[in-house]
Amino acid sequence: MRPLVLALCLACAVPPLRAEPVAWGANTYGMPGLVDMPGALPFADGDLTITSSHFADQTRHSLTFQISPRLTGSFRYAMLYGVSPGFDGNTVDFRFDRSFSLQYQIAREGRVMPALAVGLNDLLGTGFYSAEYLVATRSFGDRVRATAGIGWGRLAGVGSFDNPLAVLGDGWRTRGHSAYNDGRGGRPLADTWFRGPAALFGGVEWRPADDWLLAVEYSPDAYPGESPYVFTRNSQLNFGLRHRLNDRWTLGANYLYGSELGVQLTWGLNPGQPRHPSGTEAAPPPVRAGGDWGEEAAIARSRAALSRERITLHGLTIRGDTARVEIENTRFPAAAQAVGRAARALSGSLPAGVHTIAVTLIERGMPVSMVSLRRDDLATFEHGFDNAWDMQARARIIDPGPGTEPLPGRYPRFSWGIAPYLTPALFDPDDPLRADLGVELSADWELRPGLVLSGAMRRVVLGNLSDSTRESTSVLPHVRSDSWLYDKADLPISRLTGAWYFRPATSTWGRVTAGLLEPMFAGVSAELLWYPAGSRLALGAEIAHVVQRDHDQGFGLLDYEVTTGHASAYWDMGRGYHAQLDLGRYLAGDWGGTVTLDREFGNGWRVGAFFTLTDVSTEDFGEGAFDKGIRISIPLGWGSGQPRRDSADLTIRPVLRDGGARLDVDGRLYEVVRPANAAGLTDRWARFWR
Amino acid sequence: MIRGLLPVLGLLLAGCAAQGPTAAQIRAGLSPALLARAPGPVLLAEVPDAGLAATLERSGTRDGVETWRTAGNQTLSFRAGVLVATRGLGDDLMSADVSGTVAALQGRAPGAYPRLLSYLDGEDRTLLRAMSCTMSAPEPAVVQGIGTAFPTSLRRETCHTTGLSVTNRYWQDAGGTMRRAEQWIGPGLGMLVTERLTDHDHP
Repeated sequence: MRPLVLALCLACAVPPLRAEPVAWGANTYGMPGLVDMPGALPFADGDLTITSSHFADQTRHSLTFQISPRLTGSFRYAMLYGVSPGFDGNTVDFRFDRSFSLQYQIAREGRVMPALAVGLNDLLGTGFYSAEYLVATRSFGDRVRATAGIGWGRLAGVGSFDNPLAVLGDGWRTRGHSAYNDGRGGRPLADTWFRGPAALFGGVEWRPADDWLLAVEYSPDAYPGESPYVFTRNSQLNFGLRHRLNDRWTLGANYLYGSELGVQLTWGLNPGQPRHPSGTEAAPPPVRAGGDWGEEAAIARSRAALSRERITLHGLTIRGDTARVEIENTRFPAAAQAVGRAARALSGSLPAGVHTIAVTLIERGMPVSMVSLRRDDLATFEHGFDNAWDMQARARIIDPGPGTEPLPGRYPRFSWGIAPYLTPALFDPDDPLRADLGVELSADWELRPGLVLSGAMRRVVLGNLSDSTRESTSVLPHVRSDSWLYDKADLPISRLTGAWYFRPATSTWGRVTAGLLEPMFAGVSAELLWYPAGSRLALGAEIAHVVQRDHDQGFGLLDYEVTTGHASAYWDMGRGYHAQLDLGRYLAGDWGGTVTLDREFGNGWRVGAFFTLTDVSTEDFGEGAFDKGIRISIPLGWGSGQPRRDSADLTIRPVLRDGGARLDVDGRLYEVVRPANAAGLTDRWARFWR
Repeated sequence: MIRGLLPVLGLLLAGCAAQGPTAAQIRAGLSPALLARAPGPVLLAEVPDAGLAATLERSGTRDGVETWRTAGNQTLSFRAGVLVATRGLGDDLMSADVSGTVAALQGRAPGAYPRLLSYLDGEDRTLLRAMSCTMSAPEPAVVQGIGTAFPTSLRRETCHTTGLSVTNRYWQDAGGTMRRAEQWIGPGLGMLVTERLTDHDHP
């Protein structure tokens, strides 16, 4: 059957789909564009870039992500000196400004029609960079592109005319006050978007060689906050030069507004394209034949064979011709790879009379999935073409439900470790980069399946987090805004808990955790999760009663206590998108909800954004108006190709306040269960034979 | 709250791994006397584009597939001398259907035949690649081994897929043993050059 399918494929020999054109360079805002102006072509889907652009005593650091093939998002931290934030001549010594941008490609380039995109700059910030635009870009051959657009706000500073959108109503003629001037920073100012006068911009890009790019453009930006206080505008023409050094780095030089030289550096990667897509770990064990030995010997041989793969044998029972094997996978981020290796290791260690190997994945003492494989299939397909598919078609994956059969000697088990840690506080309003570097001593004592006592203690080695004197002015309970006081702790106990993980029924998982739950709160937290095997939807509920911990992070408590909890829905939307909705009560006693949207890569990378709206008024919330931010999770094996299950998780908030703050408890069930659930197994099944 | 960020910075900033010795350097250090002391047959393999080279020992044979492994337990698997899988090289050939090539090497497949290859993409999905190949007629060629010269017949295999064309070369001796081969692993790693250094299993 297969040769026939192939013959058809070869016969039709479809030419490769034409890749959609992508931007050649990043502008000074780190967005796809020319020099200071945007262009209508996006970056390649999934591209993640950091651009630092400097000119005239100001530096913009931008983190830009191609969220989908058409949607580009950017977070920017601008360090401005001597500017007039209100555009009124009153200058300040410095201003560290945080802003977001979004651009959406409305139409792709056609045979005649140009690509078309719409964009919003500074849609949630103070309005310093507030601008909207509609831009078109067209290619002329492989080496030249032309761009033209119409802009509002900052992009209508010079040569502006009456808003053509005024045909929709007189309200479109004027733009209204900026967020800075009326203190509305942090909210989307939809009532100013595309309002007021408009102006035209445009330019040409020329790529004489693949690694070189020249751009010239006309900018209508009058730089009202910077000119004439920081620099003098002599011209509205800008010139840019970009040179791609390698697949990560691009260097740029700009000549801006007839008076200023600028430099910029872009560093980028695509999370979907690691250097080692198959990983660099050693080869798996070969499929072998079993021998004539009993259960006792099978256990000893299996334990040894699995430990060579650094997989822990949790339980093994043989009934009839079926071996039920419980394994703990702490090594492979793809659970299917752990199952594949375990199955091959077991093929040589189980008695010859065993024909079915049922591998159960155990996570925190709970059985999550049972994968049943025919021993004959392993031998048949080990060297076959596209054998991962053959095994996937023949494997049966179910939720085994409650109950494990641990081997004697598995419990209790004590383990401990010392590891370095880094806690950066990025883009603080006073200092762009503050961080602590230290060591953490952690220990776990597993008493019986699912029951574990664990703790962690830290010691700062060097850092400047404790230097902060930014006293909280929050009118809410200081559930997070006193973090600067917690950062001064000498020997903080970051957690000390007893946790019980259990399976109440099929498709359901449970957790109860008590103790010092996180650096700022102690108490009891309980959670239930409903997550059927293979489901793309999971529902959870969590409730906790917590007391605020003393600032020294010892055993002392403060007199603030609160009952907090959420109902949560988790939805794997497919094609790499994931949504989460949490509704409930937050640490300051406020009620509301959090929406989180992530772009997920099959290798574990996640790039997402979240926002929380609660019944705290924007005035009481303070700077930023409501809680929001972006989060990035990087699997630690991505760069080296070595399999690791841990990740570096970074959350960037423009500002951390007390409204919409959630408890940070370890072991939330969805993340514990998900990788080994049938859905997680099948998503990464291609690694079965790796 | 950002446990583990430290290692990732190192990983992201780290450049390419240090290069090991080349096959020519390994070859220069080998002698017939040294090879005679090897417990089993020895294969010398090099992936020039990836800067990888090593000697391998045979770790097993099952279902007509021979698997060879390096000291670091990276493996290469062959069916009748034709590569069907690699493990541990970073961008592995996960599986292959080389029945057309094997038949052509035995003079049994006139005209074009398929060669099917599968890989992992960067997001743990299977990536399939189908090539259409033709094999040249054999011509005599001598392969210079360590201390011995082997008379062989050389065949060239040209494989095409959209936007890509590669040439593999096979030197087989009269007994059918692949003395030397240059085969394309995939777009990430390029060519694999293998040389069978010793002839037989020692008792």
